[in-house]
Amino acid sequence: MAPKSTRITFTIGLAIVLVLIFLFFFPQAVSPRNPYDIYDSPFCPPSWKNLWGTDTLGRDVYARCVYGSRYSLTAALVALALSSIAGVPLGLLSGYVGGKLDGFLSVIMDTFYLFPLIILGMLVSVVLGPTLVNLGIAAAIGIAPSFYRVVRSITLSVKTRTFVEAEKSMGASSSYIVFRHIMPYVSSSTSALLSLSVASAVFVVATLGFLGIGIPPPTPEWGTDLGEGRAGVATGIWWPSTFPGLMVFFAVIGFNLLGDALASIFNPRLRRL
Amino acid sequence: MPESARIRMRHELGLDQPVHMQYLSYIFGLFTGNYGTSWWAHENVWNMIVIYFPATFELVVAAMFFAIVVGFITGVLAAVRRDTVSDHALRGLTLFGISLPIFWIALMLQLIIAVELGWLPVAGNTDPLFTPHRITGFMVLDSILGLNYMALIDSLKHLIMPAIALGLYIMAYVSRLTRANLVEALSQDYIVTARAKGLPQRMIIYKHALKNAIIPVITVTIYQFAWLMGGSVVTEVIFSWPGIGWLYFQAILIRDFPIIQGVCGFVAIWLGVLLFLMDLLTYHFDPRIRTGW
Repeated sequence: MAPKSTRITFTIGLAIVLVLIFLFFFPQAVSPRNPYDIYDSPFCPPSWKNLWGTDTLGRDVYARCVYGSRYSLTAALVALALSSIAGVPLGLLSGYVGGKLDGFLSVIMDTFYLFPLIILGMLVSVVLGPTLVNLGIAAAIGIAPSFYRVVRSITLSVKTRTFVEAEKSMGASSSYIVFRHIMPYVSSSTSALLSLSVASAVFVVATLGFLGIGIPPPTPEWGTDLGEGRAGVATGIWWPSTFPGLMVFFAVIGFNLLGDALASIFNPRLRRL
Repeated sequence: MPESARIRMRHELGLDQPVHMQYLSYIFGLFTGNYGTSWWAHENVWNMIVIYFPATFELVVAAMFFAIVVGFITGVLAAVRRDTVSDHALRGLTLFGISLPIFWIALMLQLIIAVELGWLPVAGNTDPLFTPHRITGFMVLDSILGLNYMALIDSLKHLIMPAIALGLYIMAYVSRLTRANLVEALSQDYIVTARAKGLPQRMIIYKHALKNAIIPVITVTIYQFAWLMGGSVVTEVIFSWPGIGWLYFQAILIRDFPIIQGVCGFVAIWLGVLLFLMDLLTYHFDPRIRTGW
């Protein structure tokens, strides 16, 4: 049984993630207002009428934050899907086959792992264009190497175990060993990575949006809204930027907590920490 | 456009060469300092990088300094007082530090400290009244070298908020990592032996546990230096800090590809240097690696 702190972390993280999923599917239940319509004059401060105030055009900040979860999370999920599709098979291949292929792939993956994600993301966004899928690709290029590394190290460690040797000598094919023995370890270990990667992806998408090269307006996205509201900060108009930022923080901390808890559950060595 | 001008432009831009030759000549150029000419500024890209880089380097070093010092101290404190209230409080704070988006933290700092309280300047790396004479390009260093006290105070004031905004994530990361490694080190058998010998707690921590705990922290810190290059783009944009992150952002907006490519190439070379440095440091600190040679 996992220690108490892990259980608390897991519960809080899961609760936050479930809230985000609920916002994703049923934003109308939480926000009666539309994120695109103008409800009041621009820059109205937060009040009972406008819960979190209005933005540069008079749209409701609260509605935009709630609906914005859709776009941020979708881009993050696209990034996740692409990262695992690219990273997991390559990691398996690299770990299992080894040799020159492993060396070659490792060098390439290490390069993308180290290269600053934001700089890379900006480049990809500019070259491919600011659509949801392209933002996902931009984030995925930086996140895929993490999947590659984890899967590769698991494959390497399982590959050398005695029972695998025994199976090989009994005539088991490579694909049998990979799917029957290596994959279960991979799936349990990558659950933590999945959660932490969503946190990374949300952060990258929001950053690109903030810089103005994310999903183009009027689509409500947390980073884009924050960037648009930035001009008002110097004059004390804090609400168009603060609340989207809090949403990003909320999402990132939720996925981080969940990922930490999952890592602790599936890798008991980490529990002593 | 007359045909002769078009042919001349093609030749100048090297477009009449086969693609692989163009690529190879660009790569060769990266290593010999020829990064091309900016389409927008009509300046040599390398010159532009050299002008803007010191500001970024200064910011990154300041952020790293803040991150390592504060992160290390808090990490050690949390590990030594494991499972107490202060440990949980520090762990909660570091979790915040890791999860807070950098642009939000920078904006909030700007809003609260500069706009509302007025303690520190809102943006820029220098006040035009106090700009030191440019010797190295580093504001703080130039102030010291020029014995300009007012410029030194001014440049430090400008440096504080961006450095904290940029370094906060790393600080939280270093703090958690230090705590984890120190806790692990303190649970080792040789620590039990040291305690049994009667060594005081402080000596146990500083002389034995810390040395072993510090190795992975150094490795990770160098990796995070690379992250800081990316984070500096956002910080420089928010604080109008004139570094290569800011330059990169402007180039991205106007699609000035020579600058974009130049900065990416420069960052890549910079990463290569950092990796080499990391290998050297790890070799120095971890004797186990030496026996493998």
